[in-house]
Amino acid sequence: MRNRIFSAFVILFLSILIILPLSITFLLSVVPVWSEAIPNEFGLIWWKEILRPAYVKAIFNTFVVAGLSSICIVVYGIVGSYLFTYYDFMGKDFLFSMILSPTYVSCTVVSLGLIVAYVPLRNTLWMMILGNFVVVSPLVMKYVHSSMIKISKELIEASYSLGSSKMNTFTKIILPLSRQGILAGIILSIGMCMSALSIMLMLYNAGWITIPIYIYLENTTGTLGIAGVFSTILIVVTLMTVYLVDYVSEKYAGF
Amino acid sequence: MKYEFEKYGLLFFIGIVPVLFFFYPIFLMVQMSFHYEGAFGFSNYVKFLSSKTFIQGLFNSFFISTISVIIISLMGLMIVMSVRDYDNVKRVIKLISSLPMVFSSYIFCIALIYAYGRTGILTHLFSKFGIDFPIHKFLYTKYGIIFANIVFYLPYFIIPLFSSFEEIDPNLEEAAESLGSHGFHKFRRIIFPQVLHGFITGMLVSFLLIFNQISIVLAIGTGKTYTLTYLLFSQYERARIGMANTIATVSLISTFVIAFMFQRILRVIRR
Repeated sequence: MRNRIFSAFVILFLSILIILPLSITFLLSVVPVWSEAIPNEFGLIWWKEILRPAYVKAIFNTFVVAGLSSICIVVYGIVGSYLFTYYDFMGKDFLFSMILSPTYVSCTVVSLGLIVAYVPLRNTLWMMILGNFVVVSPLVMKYVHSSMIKISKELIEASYSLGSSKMNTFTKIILPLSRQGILAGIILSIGMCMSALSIMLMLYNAGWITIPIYIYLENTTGTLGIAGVFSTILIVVTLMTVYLVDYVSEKYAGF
Repeated sequence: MKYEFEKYGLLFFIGIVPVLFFFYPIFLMVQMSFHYEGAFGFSNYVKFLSSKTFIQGLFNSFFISTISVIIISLMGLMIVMSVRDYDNVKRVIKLISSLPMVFSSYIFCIALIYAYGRTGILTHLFSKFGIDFPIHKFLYTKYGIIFANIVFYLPYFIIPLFSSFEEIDPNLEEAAESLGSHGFHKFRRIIFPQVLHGFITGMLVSFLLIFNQISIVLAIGTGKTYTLTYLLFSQYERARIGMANTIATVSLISTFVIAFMFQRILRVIRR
């Protein structure tokens, strides 16, 4: 009984800490002027405001950057996972640690390194994609690898012994059976690339401003309503991401 | 032959990426930190060590990360211990906890300010009941950054710790209980040693993430409280690339030293 009460308290505590502040972000987007602690006037003025071409472009840019980055990240994640699961070679663990190392280094350090090393790409769309790729791809590879490693080796051997080619086995057996990890990786990648600020802070250019950059710029100039709208859009995307990852994990848990 | 060709082809493709886009840029950055006005030397490092701001930034990074990780690990352990027997509660906590993991920490901090800041909703609501909600008093200081770190990075500690607890053999616990070990004794002698590896790994991951993050410091520190990553960004914005490279190198060395220390601890535990 005492443990149950404590469990309920823990859920309440985490909800106050995590969910409540997120719901306040939504309030920011529907309060025209937030001058008092409890707002007394509500409206969609900030939501109408984001229909301005500059803001629409920011939303478009976010989807383009996140989409293109995710394509590269997922392809690399699948190929890398395939290599680490089905091939043996010297220094396998070392290479895997090398690939995972950007995860533990500051995004600002990664950004500065890319700027220093690839000067011609500075302030281009490609640099933004590269930044996302370096930071997010290790996580996605980890996801896909953990899913691919669960596939029974006997199944793959049976496929080869029945005359199936490597490519055929890969597309017909390995990919479908590791879809849980791949889908979770795709969703995670899109979610992370869409909300990435740390990596974009130093890599963005004026023509490719994304939603997180706009939130940062709007917040520093004091226009919190727009920041609230963009934050709400990102929250919805994030919630969908969390829900989809959970759903995908549950649905294909048996594979 | 074909197998070997495929293997080395894939190996080249996968291996070249971190080399080209992570290690080569890092190498160039470290190399450039030793260049000052066209000549090789340690001038940037001398400047770094003689600047109160940079040393304070380094201290702040370690202070904030250490205190945050200590609190996160104690809170995380308590939470996981108390709900580990209830699958439904675990599921809800995992779901709530996974939110910050895919969420922008900067937006999260803006939300925290509107909830717990001086004119925040919660501060106001509590004041209506005559309670002075204390968070607003320190939200804009380094303790506010620690608070935001705890809220944002707690899940990074909780979720792996749940996995460690799930791996504990229930028979071992039953055997301990039948031999008269209960409560804190059981926790200290039976449970904790089994999750210690996951606990230390969780601490390492949280420490590195907090040490290297910038968004929370940007949103809550507002330029008054600064860490190494914040100083790196501000030096870059002022086009002082040499000093930015130096700070980045110091940050990398610190990260390496922390990871090395934790690895040593893990090795001792394994023995």
